[in-house]
Amino acid sequence: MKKNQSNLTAAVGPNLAQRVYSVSRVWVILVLALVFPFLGANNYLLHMANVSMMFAILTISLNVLSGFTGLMSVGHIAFFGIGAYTTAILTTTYGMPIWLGFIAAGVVSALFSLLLGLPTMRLKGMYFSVATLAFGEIIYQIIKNWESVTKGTKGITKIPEITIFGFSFKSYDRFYYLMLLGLILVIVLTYNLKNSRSGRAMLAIRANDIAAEAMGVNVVTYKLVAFMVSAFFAGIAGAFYAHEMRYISPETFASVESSTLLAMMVVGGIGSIPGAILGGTVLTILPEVLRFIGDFRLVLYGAAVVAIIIFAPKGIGGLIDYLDELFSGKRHLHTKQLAKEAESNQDGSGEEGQA
Amino acid sequence: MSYILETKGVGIQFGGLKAVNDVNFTAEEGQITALIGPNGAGKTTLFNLIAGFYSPTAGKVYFKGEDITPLKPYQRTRIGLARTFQNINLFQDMSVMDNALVGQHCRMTYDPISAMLSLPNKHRQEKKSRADIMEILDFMGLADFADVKAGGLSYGKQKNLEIARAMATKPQLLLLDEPASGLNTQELDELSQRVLAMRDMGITVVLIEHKMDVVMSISNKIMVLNFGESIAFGPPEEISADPHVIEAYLGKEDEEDA
Repeated sequence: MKKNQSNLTAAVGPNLAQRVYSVSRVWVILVLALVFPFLGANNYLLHMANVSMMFAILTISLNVLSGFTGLMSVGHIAFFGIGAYTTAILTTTYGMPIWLGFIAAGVVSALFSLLLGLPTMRLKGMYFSVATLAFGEIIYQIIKNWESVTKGTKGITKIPEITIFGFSFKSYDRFYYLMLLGLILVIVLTYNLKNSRSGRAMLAIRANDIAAEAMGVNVVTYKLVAFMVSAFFAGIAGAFYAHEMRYISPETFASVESSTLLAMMVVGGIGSIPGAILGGTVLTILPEVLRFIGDFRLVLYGAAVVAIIIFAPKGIGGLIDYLDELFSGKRHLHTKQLAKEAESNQDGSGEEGQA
Repeated sequence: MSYILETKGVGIQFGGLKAVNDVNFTAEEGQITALIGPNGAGKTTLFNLIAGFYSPTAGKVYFKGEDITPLKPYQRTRIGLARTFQNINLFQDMSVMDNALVGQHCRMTYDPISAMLSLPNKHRQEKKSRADIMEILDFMGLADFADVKAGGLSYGKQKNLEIARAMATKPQLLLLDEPASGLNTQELDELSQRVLAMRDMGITVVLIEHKMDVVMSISNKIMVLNFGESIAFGPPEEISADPHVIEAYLGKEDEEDA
């Protein structure tokens, strides 16, 4: 009886509303993002939006490593710092153009991940995490103490604003659009990677590295590729940060900040790209919203993170996936497939039980 | 001799235990060779030696006449040697199609940067791979389930996906580790037909199996392992008449079946 019902709904397929939803969802979000600065957002709100997008990129970058291959980096803020300092040093001390600073930020960061990855990629789980923890601390100490290059605790000031063909992106609303473009690019590149030979290899490694190896995946190579892509994105996020704040100092890149990043990923749901964006945004804004209650906000912040982990173990991303399937009518499709399977199992009249 | 696979005196020792000892296994191209023996006889260990998951402590493994002993598992898959696992080892959260596409990994060549930029070579290769895989899924009775998550399939279908994924690597030699365990009578029959069809496609099959009726009906040659050593190797009729085999294996199996 139940089976017939689900077959019936499946025959109808997704209805008009569901189809409209499926086609329009991305565009609606994009339009909302585009008109946001016109909705009376002041500079403070725009700045928060910009920082949220930087952390969204950072969380996506962490997801490429931890969400795709399952390797947990607990020193990821270091790559953000390497990116920020690379472009800051190149564009201030050496007066190089900003576009070069951006590329260098990503490339140098990726090179550092290669340097760290080559000896550590054969390490399993926790041992790799410990190595990244140490790496995060080392980078922080270098930034803080190598005064001749990084200006030490004084930080680097007067980092140039971004101008493209004389058009300045100094104001927060203009920077917002540049940031949005950067975020969209990272999202598209990450989705393309996920749905490719390389991305599937990474997901396979996370799911079952022995089976992945048996399928011809060079496990060490693809962990390394994921690490480098991850570090590249984190470096780019760092470059955005440097040119938006126009002042950077070591404290932003202290290794404790890596745990904020981890929280963003977990709250968003490990492996989920929309989750990473929302996790980055929510945990950037939450401490600000809670600012009025003073230091007690840190307690609330912690409680909120724990609550999400307990009540939504797949994070915000899991909730989004569920709603998305519900609205687009894909849940019916699954019911249909399960019904079909139940049917074929009945046909296969199981005389012998399953061992 | 056209042995596609040959082990010469291969063995592995775990501490004091010789799990596999001095085994000379051969598989002729285009044939079905079975590996049988009581539990703990070292069948899966021998598979792991052939597929490269263990390095032998003695002897060598040859594939198409070349010594592949130093090669890693993923390198062996690339040169045409694929395997399935005794315990289902699928990527549970990935779709049936994606599981099989991982099998196509080494048959595609585009790099991560082309992947991220979605360059034309990505589209070309993906299109071809997906078409190839649909044929394999169709062959394994999984065509209707391409978008279902592997973990959501029934046990029998998960077993089929194990094989489909290994076939997606385009192997010349396919190692099947207990493909029939847990299958019902109809599924068993389908499995036998499929293994014979694979052979006809030109894939050399080596299988570990406990179900004697399956083994006896489809194999060209059978090796019997006991306590890590080969005690008999020959065509099915010879094996079923061998007194050592009856003593070590078939007698016990009959009692167990009752």
